[in-house]
Amino acid sequence: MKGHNTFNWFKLILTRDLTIAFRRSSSYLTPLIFFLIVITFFPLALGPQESLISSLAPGVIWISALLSSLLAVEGIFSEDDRDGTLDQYFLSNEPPFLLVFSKVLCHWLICGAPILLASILGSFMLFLPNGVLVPLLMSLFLGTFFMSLLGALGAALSLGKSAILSTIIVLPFSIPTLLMGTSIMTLAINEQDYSGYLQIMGAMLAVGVPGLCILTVEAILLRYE
Amino acid sequence: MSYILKAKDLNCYRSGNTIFQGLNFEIDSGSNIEVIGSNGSGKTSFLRILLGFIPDYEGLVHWSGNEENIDVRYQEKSCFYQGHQTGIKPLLSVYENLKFSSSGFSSSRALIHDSAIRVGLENHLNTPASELSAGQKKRIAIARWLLKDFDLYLVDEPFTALDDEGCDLIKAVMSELNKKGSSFLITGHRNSLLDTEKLILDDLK
Amino acid sequence: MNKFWFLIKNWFIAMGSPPSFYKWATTFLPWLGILAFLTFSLGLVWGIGFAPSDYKQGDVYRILFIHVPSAILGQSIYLMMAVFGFISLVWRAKIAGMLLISAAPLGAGFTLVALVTGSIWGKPTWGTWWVWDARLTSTLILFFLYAAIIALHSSLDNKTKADRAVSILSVLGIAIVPIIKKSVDWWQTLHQPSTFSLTSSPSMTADMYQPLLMCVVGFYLVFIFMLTNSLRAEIISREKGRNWAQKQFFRREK
Repeated sequence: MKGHNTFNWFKLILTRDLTIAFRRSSSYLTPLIFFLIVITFFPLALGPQESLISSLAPGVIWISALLSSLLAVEGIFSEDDRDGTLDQYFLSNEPPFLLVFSKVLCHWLICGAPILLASILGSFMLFLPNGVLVPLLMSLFLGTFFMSLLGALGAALSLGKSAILSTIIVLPFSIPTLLMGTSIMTLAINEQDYSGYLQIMGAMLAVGVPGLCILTVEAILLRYE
Repeated sequence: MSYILKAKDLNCYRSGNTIFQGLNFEIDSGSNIEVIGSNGSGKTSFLRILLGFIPDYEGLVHWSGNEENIDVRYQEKSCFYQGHQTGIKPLLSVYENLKFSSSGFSSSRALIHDSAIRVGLENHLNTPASELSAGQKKRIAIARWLLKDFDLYLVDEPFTALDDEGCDLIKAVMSELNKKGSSFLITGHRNSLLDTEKLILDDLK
Repeated sequence: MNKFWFLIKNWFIAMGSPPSFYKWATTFLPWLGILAFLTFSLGLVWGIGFAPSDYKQGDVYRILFIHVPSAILGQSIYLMMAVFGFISLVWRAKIAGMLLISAAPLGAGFTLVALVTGSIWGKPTWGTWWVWDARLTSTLILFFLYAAIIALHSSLDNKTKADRAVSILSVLGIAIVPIIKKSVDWWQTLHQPSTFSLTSSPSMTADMYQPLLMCVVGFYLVFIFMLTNSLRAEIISREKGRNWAQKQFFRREK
């Protein structure tokens, strides 16, 4: 019975956050549009020659995805913190780790998933070489989820402060994801085997989900002391 | 002996200042207690200690049903907490606010309807909360109390900014729930003249 | 023997309380300072002035005597901060949190010195002021990690909360630093198959190794001196309302 209640609670938080997010179209449109705008800026700034843009394409898509993911994290906890819902979460005798995980999942669904779809569009806009769309999507999937995890930690640590503070905190930790994601792309373009990097990214995610969620819980509890 | 919650010799220090000391009380099933304190007297800190959010306190806090002497953070609490901000989401309708609350998630549609009727919001079930007045939003918060039975309701400043009709509604709901065996711990900065036990925090510096 | 361990344990417990650390630091600071200054300057003068010239790089390599200790210190300070952070999170020792935040600017400073001296070393040897090799890049990322900790701490007004927030960040940081190093290595080899290092140390004879060792020890002592100083200031600034601090400075009871 207890397990059934816990899963219900998880569903409650997830459904509520998703309902609110979809009522406010800015929550899922803003990261998407930002992503596309940043992608557009590179050819605008560097010139539209196909050879140049094509060689930059994987890096540009990755950087835009990282930055868009990070900018959207501010709302993860701040609204609930302001209107007292966060208190309620900690009061129910359910594991707070699940609260954080459901927030991360929600953030990924409204931010990371649209970015994944938009990256297909981006790959055409930036003349990404043929045949590397699958590794791009796979690495972006793992990468954006890890970014949502890191973003939740950044949002929790800088609760109530500016969004750019949480960005500074989180960006250095996202460097391995960036390096590995782009390495996957380089290997894929040269038709070499990139599965090793994918496995490491997956391992980081496997360790990161429990580890980062627990650290995020600690960070939220800080607020109460 | 049938207390739901008791505290003994509770001391609270924040940032080197004494907020209150020597606080003792006991809440029995079906009875209420009102905590009165001016702004800054520590009402919110007091509630937070009881709920286990603040680890820095001295004294004993014991929720019934737990072993003695474990830290309040790890005790099981059958309570409903409503903070100063009520946690009503403006983008959700009245029905959704009730359905997606921790007390309402496993409630049937009929139960939610009945609660809405009890607080006088049956015509607004599908209105987004952002379109309701402040008093109506507080009524949604009251409706949440009715969705599930808790031993103790901790409500921070329920009467603040509420008109006479709303105050009467709260008093009526409170006595209904008292008859079912629940208790209320409410806070306020003025004596609400309710017929309950009073705990005045300003006297406990 | 038991008495010895008993004394050591008591010393640690005493150090954990800010007032007794403050008193200890006030007495020992001048001696520490003299020792640090002596070792530091002796080591540098020996290395830069008297060590033999390198066969490949000539006299340019002498900047190694500043660069290597700075780099070593930058990395070990981050590790130290992670340990303090862990202690502060698990045992809630106030002084661990204060140690963390006092060490952070020092670590950032040493890392910056390592970056600048690495850059200066690179100009005559490789011709450019900067190059994206694995070592310099990871040092740069380490600098950003320090900056994140300093920025977060300064943004929170309640310093006890700030300590705990920063402890979380440093514990996370130490977990991710090996991953960062490894991925920067792979990134390097992927894009430039011929691995090269900007600051390849010359093969060292004993004549060069000894002054380097002295420099490393000297830098460590200077760090401990500055840390103690900084911690003393931090303790006083946080506890100035308390009785013991009031008595120290104003000779009155609160």
